[in-house]
Amino acid sequence: MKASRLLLATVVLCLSSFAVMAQTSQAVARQPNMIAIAIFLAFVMTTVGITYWAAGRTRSAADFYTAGGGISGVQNGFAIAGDYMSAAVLLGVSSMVFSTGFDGMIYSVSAILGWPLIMFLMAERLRNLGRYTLADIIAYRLDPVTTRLFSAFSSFVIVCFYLIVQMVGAGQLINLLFGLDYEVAVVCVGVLMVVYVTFGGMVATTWVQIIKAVLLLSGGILLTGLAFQHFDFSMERMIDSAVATHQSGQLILGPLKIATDPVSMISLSLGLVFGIAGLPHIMMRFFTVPDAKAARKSVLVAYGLIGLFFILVCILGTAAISIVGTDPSYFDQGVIGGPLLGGVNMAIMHLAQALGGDLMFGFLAAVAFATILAVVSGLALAGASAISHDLYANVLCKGKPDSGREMRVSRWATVILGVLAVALGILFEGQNVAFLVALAFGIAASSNFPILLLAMYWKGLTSRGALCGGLSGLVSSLALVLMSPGVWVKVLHHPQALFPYDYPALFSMPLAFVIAWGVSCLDRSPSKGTERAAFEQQSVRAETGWGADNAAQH
Amino acid sequence: MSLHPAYQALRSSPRYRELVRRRTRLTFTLSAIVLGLYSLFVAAVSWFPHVLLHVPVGGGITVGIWSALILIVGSWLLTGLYVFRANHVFDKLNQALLSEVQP
Repeated sequence: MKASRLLLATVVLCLSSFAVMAQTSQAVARQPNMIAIAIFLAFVMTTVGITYWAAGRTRSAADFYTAGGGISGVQNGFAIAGDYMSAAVLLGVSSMVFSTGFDGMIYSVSAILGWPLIMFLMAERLRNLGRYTLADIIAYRLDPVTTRLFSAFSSFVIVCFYLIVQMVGAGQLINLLFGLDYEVAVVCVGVLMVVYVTFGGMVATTWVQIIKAVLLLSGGILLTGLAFQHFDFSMERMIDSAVATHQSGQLILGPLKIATDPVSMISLSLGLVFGIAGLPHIMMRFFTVPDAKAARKSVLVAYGLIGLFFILVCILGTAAISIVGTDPSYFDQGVIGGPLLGGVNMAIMHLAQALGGDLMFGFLAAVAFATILAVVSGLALAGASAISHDLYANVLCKGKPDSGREMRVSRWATVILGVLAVALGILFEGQNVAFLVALAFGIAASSNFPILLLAMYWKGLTSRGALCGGLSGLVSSLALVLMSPGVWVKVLHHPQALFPYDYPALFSMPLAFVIAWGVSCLDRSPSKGTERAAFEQQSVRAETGWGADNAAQH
Repeated sequence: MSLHPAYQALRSSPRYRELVRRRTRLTFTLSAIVLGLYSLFVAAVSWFPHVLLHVPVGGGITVGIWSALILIVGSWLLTGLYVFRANHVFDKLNQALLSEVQP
């Protein structure tokens, strides 16, 4: 009762502040789009309603972290797709196609080919071995304190970098689309995220993801239909007019800027392909389904939806080249070829305006906002679980926590994460945060992924090996990104980058593997024998699911 | 730490060895196909970008766009193939194996 009243109060406060600010902020370029606000408010009310319903079903720690394992394979597939199809993809990849053509398609292929590998090598094993977090798998047979500390820390770092990207993107987008002040927008996102996660846990977060995935895909399909109609349903005409109107002409059909040199290209693709398998908020979703069979189905559904979405986004970017790119009203001061109104990421929003008027623009704007909300909720849940399940329950309480207290810790952790996200979002206002995506994926591919893979497949991995390998991957990817042109030159304004490439994975990921292997081989600690012996039991459980937490039973 | 007797029983069952062998062979083959085709794509982008500009069958779609589409759709079909095999072969084998230790 107390919880639900607090929930209502928070939401009323948030919505009213939203309404007030929408009226008071006059000093913005764009008139607030009433359709966008109406659709977005409908989304918020629906999802808060679901949160209210979910709050009654979130009684135990298992409910909070993984919805009690009661999500079906298809539902989880939609939710995974919702987690992965962020606003950064919708706006960023379409604008990449808009400005450099085929580059966007190269990026898309790299960004989704991790999914089949997750299916073949990880999904079922994750479900059979894990319970609530990635650390459960790494610490399954290794030292429960140090490896868990490492994995929780690395997950937390990834979540924080990802959160900054989303918060800064949210602030800019909402400022532009709804006419809200940047700070107000960031606070709104933070409050709603905390409401969803603290009260509704994984149940609410899952449904927010599912609704958002459906909205985003239907928006994408509708807009693609309109775009094809514009070109008389001819792909050839769409591509030809893109080539004819783009300033780089025929060159946009090949790699333009993404692969300036092979090393960058390979490093980027390694980070993207293997980074997915180290993202804590995505991997955590495999623990919400009852068994390995449902885990397989989740990946099949999720990958189908994600693949479709990336293809749609590429088509929309291509259509935008000739539709948006030739209309001076979408450019700053009407200069074609100059900066786009609202920044380069707005290409797809302008396309919606051009093809479907205010209605389509409003719909897509609301969906983009909903997308950010859903993604930050998933991130907050993953971050809170790393704190409450890994640090509190397993490290501090040695795996025997009081269940009620663990729930309270997880809720407070979410609130703290919310405050942290808002503070970081405001701190990074106006900064170019694109490098943080590369950083989050680079760290995921160089710290979480190698250790996760070795823990599941290599008998010889010891606790020391995992710790040294994971930390070296984490530190080296952080250091390399710091010294890269994207940060050292563009953010810190030094004349020359210390490390010539923007993406670290080609160097930091092999380093993590080599150090984990070397240290494990040299390890002479007494626990080595038991850790190797426990691998037998672990692999039987990973292969057959015997003894796995079957959450569907309760 | 000694092995739990049920794990020991599962591990020494011939069905377990068959399950692991067949599933490992399939997953490693499929992963190798996906990674191999993707490496070809990355190699073409890095070293032979001009190949990607040809239009093989008309319709304005270049070799680059075709190969990206084939990679996305093809690897999705491979995941579908894996799910089909897992549902029809591995799950049955696994059920039979688990019934050995669960009366």
